[in-house]
Amino acid sequence: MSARAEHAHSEVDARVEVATPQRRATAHPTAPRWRVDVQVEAGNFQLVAELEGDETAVVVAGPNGAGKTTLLRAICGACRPATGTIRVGERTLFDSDAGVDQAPERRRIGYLPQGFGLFPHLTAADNVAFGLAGRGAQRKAGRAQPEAQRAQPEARQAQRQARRTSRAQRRRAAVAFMEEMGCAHLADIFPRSLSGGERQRVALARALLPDPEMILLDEPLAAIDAPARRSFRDQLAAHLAKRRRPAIVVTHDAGDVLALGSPRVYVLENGRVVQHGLPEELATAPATPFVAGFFAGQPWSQPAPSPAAAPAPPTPSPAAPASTESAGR
Amino acid sequence: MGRGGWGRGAGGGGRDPAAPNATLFTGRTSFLAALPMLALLAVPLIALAGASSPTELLAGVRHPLFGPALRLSALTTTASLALVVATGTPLAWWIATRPRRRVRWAESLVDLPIVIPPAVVGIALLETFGRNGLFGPALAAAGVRVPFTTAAVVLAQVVVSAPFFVQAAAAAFRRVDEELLIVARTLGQTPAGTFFRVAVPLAAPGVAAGAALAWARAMGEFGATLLFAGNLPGTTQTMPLAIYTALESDARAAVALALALAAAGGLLLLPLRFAAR
Repeated sequence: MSARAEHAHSEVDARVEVATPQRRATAHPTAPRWRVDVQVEAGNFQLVAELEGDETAVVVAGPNGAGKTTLLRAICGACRPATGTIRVGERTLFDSDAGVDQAPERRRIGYLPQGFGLFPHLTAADNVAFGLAGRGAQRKAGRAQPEAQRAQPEARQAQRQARRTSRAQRRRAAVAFMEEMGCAHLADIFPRSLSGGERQRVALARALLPDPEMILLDEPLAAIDAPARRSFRDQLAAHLAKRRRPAIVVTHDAGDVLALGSPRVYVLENGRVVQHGLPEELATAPATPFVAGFFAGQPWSQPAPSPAAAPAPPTPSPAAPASTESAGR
Repeated sequence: MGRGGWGRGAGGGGRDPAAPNATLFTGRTSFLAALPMLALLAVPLIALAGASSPTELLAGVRHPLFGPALRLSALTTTASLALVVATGTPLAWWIATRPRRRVRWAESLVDLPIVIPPAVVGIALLETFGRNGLFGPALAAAGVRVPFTTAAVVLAQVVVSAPFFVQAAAAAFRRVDEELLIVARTLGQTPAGTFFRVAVPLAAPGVAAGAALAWARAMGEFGATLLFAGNLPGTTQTMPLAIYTALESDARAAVALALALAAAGGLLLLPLRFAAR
């Protein structure tokens, strides 16, 4: 990344603090919780992306083939970037210069692929319990995770119970956790008999139970019928907000951005981050026709409220357009 | 019998009655055109079944060649199937998980025993394990003789039947959704754990179909066995070789032996075609 791009980033960070004080108040005021700066080569396709965020969700939007899924796969360790770094919390998951490349099972990244990736040969409860059997889950038991303290009491209990236990015990812990996620009634059902929304809920429970440090959701609402979509969208946002886990939510629906509390949006096109910032910034000054189309008809496309409503910004630049990157283009 | 034709497993299935082709091509012409081959496949088997009465069949079963040959065939095909599954599964997984262009050479190698006549395989095995073969001196020094032993029968069966298993298993592993493997890893499973807990259960129907096919091919193996292992009753004379031997002296015994083999094959086909759906 060029120095110019770095500068653009710090500028946007400053404005994020201003625009959402209520969210930043609880977050660490220092460094971002996670940071991804990768270059991925996949055949003729090249992805160059630089993202960071705090302990709330970040949205990645973009047209088909923009590299959204490739980005998530690079973060969870399913494809190796040519160069770059991936840091989550205190841990470096990938660093090409230092030769660090953690295996996916040790990254503690929850991943919900498109279609949710439920194991068809396991019941919903066994799907949810799956993450408690892995080596990563067992190894984790030895360490006291400060993040784990922040999880809900029931969840924490379920997680503690699940460590180093038998299959039946893991299954009980999974059902207890599903109870909390509102999907315990689906425990004995196989994925093929679940609706899109039920699959999403089971898959979300499965991803959250091992207590990942970050969660990646690839189009989590695309497979859900329009009528149910609104309620599932709100539930998903509530679950993510409750756990205060960093998350990347890939979507092609601006309505999802609204439901997630209008977090920062990164727009990917042709393997590049063409624009990022808060929804109102992107809606006001779209850098590409896709960005303009994405936010068309959404509340942010109305004139944004006066920045004076927020506490005094350290370096006020209220009229500055959202940063536009052209690195490598 | 291409990759994916067999071993279609859970994902397969016949053409739906509502599919367009079932509506567009309803004429009788296509059935009439398909009839000659159907007849060619069915008539010899019907003839075989009609050639023998129950009493003759019983006599064939009591034929001195029958018992030892059946026992030997059961023993060797079980051993060769175990070897094929144990060594072919890792190969199939390796082929299925690498980019296709990088494993094309390995896939071609797997196909070779299908296109090469079994007699040629027999000669090649002699050139490898025979007294003057590649490993001949080393084996002789170790006091091991391979050709014309039961081990040679198993080796010949492994080489000719492995392609059927590896092709079907690789196709079955390829059909396992990549995302499921990624999810399993992010949920803390090692590569081995992901293989045994996700890939194997999901590919199991296709892998089992491949195993059944390989077993059937091993059971029928004749050419390579005759050249590499010989035709020694009790040691290397499997069912097909016993049929060949019986035909020279007693045609009715050969028919009875053939019927027994055909029945075994037919029984195998039923679960293969219908259970895997």
